Amino acid sequence: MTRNSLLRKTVVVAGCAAFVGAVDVGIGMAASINANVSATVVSPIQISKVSDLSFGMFAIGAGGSLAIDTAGVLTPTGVTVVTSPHSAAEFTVTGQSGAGYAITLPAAVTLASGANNITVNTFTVNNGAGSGLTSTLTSGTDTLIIGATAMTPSGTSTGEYSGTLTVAVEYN
Amino acid sequence: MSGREIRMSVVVKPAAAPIIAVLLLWAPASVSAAPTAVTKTQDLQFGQIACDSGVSGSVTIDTTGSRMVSGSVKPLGSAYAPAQFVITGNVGQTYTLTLPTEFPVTSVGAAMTVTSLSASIGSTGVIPASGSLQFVVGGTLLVNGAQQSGAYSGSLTVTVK
Repeated sequence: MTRNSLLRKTVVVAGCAAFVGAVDVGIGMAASINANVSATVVSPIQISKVSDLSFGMFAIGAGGSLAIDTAGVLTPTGVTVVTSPHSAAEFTVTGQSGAGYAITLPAAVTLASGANNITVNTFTVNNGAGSGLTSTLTSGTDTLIIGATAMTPSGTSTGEYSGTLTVAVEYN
Repeated sequence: MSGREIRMSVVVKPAAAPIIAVLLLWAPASVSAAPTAVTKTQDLQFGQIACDSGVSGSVTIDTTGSRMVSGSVKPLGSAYAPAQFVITGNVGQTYTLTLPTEFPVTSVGAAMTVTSLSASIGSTGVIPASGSLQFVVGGTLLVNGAQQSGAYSGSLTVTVK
């Protein structure tokens, strides 16, 4: 009587344990899947100089300024051009075909001749996209032409002035 | 004799009822316990990047789909995405999600490493009433200094059980 009762309870417990075991097997199976992972490293952007920015030779006279535009045209204001060899700065930019890039120019460059200085500013840009500070590397290359204005007030000392214009380009 | 028999039947009846109840509860679970499965719905794409020579950096795609860079890496274009998967299985089942610690992506240049993998769901959880659970996986790509340009590829393996 009492033994029978205990025996049945034991059967119930064993039945539960067996089914729990079956469920564990079902959820214990691991499933794996792969996702492709990709990254594209593009060619670094590079810039090289084709020609320097040159204002040529001029006489100060009443003083003023001397501008050279991106077409290489010289415009004197209050100064007199003596010889005409002059050029806008030109650069070649290369990198990832079709990628856009940004151009960074200084606000001003100082040209020095001994202790005397001339300030060059008001830089202008011509590139494959137009005249702004952004352009596109169509076919992986672009031409950058930069004009500027040299400030030559009355009293500017005679001499041969030189300085460095640094142009930076970066993908955008 | 007859008195004993009556007492025995009184004891047996309540014991038999729980047996039936327990069997009904557990039998359906064991029969329909299909394996938990996982499928891929989107690849992990870090997209186009440029980097300065000689300076290392990284690019991270997080689980919200945002792309962030550090060091010399410059992000280009707008084609990037986290990996996306779907777990399917029995409602209420507990799953365990395992991601790799790191893995390489390779091309003609030096291999890069993808690390810091993270998922938009916890590493363990329960399959919801819909029977499926979508999640995304992001990670960080470590870019070497002077990384050679090229198309790099690798494989992210996720395991669910």
